Amino acid sequence: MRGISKLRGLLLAGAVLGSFPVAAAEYTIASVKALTGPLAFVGVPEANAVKMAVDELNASNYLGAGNSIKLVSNDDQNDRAQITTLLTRAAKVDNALIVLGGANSVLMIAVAPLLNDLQIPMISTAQTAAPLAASKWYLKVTASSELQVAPLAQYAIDKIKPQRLAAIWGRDNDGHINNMKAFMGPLAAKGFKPIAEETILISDTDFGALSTKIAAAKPDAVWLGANAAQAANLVIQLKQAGVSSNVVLFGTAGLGVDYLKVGGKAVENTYFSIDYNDQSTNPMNVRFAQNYQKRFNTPPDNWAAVGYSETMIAARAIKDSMPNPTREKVLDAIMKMKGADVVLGGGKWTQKADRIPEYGPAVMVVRNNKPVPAQ
Amino acid sequence: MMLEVKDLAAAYSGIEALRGVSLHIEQGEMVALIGANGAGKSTLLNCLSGTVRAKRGSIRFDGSEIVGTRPHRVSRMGLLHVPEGRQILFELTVEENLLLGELARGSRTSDYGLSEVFKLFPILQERRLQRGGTLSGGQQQMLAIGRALMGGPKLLLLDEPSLGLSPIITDQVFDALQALNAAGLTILLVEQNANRALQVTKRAYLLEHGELAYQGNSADLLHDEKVIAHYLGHLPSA
Amino acid sequence: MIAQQLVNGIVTGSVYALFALGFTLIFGTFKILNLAHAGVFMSGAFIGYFAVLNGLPLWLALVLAMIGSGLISYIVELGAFATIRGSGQIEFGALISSIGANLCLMSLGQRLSNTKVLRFPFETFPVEFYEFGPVRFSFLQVIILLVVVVLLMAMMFYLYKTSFGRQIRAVSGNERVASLLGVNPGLVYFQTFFISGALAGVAGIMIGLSFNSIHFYMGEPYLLKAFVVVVLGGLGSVHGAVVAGMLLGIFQNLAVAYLPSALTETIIYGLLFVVLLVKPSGLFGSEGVQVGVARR
Repeated sequence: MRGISKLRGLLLAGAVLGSFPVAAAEYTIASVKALTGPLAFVGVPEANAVKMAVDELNASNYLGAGNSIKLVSNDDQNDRAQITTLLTRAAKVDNALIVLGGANSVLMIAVAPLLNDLQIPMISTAQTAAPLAASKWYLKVTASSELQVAPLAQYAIDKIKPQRLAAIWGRDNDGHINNMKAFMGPLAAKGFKPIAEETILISDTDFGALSTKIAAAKPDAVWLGANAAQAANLVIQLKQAGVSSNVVLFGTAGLGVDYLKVGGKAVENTYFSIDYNDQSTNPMNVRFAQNYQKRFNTPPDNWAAVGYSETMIAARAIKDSMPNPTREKVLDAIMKMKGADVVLGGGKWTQKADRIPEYGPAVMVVRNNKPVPAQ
Repeated sequence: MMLEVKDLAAAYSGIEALRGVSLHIEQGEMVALIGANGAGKSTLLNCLSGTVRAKRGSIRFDGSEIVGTRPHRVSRMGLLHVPEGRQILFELTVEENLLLGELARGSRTSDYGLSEVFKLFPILQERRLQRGGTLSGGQQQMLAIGRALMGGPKLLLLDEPSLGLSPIITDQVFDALQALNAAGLTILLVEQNANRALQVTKRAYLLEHGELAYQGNSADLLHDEKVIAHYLGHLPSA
Repeated sequence: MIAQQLVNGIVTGSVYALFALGFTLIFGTFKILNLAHAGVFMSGAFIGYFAVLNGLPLWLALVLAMIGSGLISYIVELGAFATIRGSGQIEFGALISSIGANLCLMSLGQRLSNTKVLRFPFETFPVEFYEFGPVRFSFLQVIILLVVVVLLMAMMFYLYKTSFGRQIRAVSGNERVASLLGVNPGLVYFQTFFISGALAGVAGIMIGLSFNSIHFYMGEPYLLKAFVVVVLGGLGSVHGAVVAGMLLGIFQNLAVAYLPSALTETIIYGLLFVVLLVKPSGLFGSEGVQVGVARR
């Protein structure tokens, strides 16, 4: 009985939908991000910004009158099996044209072969470039952070010349490990050898012992391989343990609002290269920051900017493949994309032949608790 | 009347263990409840102390209905149950076990404090700071009785106090019980060792398959042929 | 540096002990591995944070956090444990339902914080340092040690010298017998879970103050440490948890100081393994006690 009534419902729905004119079309974007678990601090602001971007695009009839973007947003729980299910659903049930994926590069590598099977493009901010090799359907919205670190390392060599450099990094995160190598490698090659190398876990909060040990080594510069809040906490404890207040700090991309808020006075003199500059006067950035603050009652961070930019790129790709966009065409459009409007770096996003995009990240330094371009 | 049970029925693990039992105990009496293993003796005590919920019937203790009253409230009313196997709290010292017993007294007065219990069972004073788990079986039984006395009982329920004890220790325990009764304490004594139970009591009930099979004077029961055959073991069984 | 690392270790260890104490109290009394202890700990930090943010003085925030997390702990008992107590499968069932309760608390924390890492405002606690020769310690560390020592002593007194403590230990030994002696088990459940939660709440604030990170996920690493402390100290042993917490803190600090930091975890769990090989009941567990679910 129930089966029959369900069938009847479906037929009815089909008839109603069929009676609309063909011109109005919905194009689906699927968001599959970690909304719970240890990476939720990335996934939640990303997903918030994605939702905001879709609403803005639809309000401005971005895809042409009558057309709209439909967003299907789900929680990947930072779990491989869950991502597999959600990707399959996005491709087969929701008929999404593109997936906005998660930040965990290990998981992205793991599910890349599935993208080949499903033939659906996915764009995300995995910290390494490794998933690119596993599937042509995987795309990166941000440059690999290794590449972002390179200008920072060059800056350190040219301007800071650290004599007593200490390095601390999260040993349970491949992004932090690669960043550390990308930074320490060029410095070591120029003769700036580290005086101390220590590792932490991304869940650690108590750095008392480590800080005492580092303080005893009297560093003049420290590499911080940690995410924003943890890095700030580490700096506070380093200084409380007696590390000089003049110490120069280097960090990875992703340092942003949280870092400054948690770190306060302790994080002065931090140099970092940045995807998202919240001080940017670019009109699109200003609008983004205002709208985000208004809607979510908190200023956007790096991850929100990434999610917003992903959506802009996805929407642009759909628009570029009109009429009758397919996944193949959307992928193609991103591969050829030049100067897309985003809120990252300088504001223009260009895909490159090696599929690592360019948008002009900059070296910044914290002065009076504000990031300013480093001289 | 200290205790009046009417038509009490209860099930235990789905088995009907009591099927309408009525009995009564007068102030100052010491009454024996005997019966074979599984006759429902322990279930009856558990119903009285509130750890098993009666299906039917009434229990009036010292003038109040107590069916459905939770165990800690029943004990605070002065009905104290010394369960089978002593059930000493091993991790607590002897003294702590006794002091815990004081809780049931509440604001009532009691004839038994630490010093009275120590007078009754001097060995407990010697072992005062030892953990309960280190005592011998007989000492544990004395501690269990002493602990209940600390709660100022109006009625003391004893489940198999002689279980696992040597005859000499059993004698000591029964002597103590007789002395307590002589001093005015009302006691319901459940025993498999029916011989001993009938010797120290005036009145007795015999429980069979959850029903009362006999009630009357202990002395008569001691000489009843059927009782002798089934419970006292004087005659060779068939 | 060794003196400094010892000081660091004692302070870290005392917070471990405080966290583990509530955890072991529940385990020792009711044989429940309460994984929601991590969530309760986090709740304490959150309550303290929001109290300070709303202008209350720190001491009042501490009191509120103790009461609040104590009540939350009791709500966990009512929701996750009391409901399944009748089923006779309490040990395993409670483990699962405590995971559920923990997830609920974490989700709540996640919503409240927007997944962000929160910290007490900078002027919440005076940042002052004292130097004694080579040793440097902060006013905060002194206060933490003081608070922990006072709470531990109060807890010991409560458990071993008062009637309430006797009742808790009696229910721990045999709930049925305890109730026959006039102990109200419901009251014991309330007290035990409340105390356990209140201790976790204090630990949450201490961690929040010293490590600047109040976060919905903050309890998980401490839960893992609490397992180590509880097993090392002897399952359910209160003294054991205190000593093992201190030892773990000191050992961890010394390991970080003198060995490659990447090996710290390996060494801690290796040590735990060795202790369990030599003395399966833990440092202070009694030999006669059967560890685990078989214990009745």
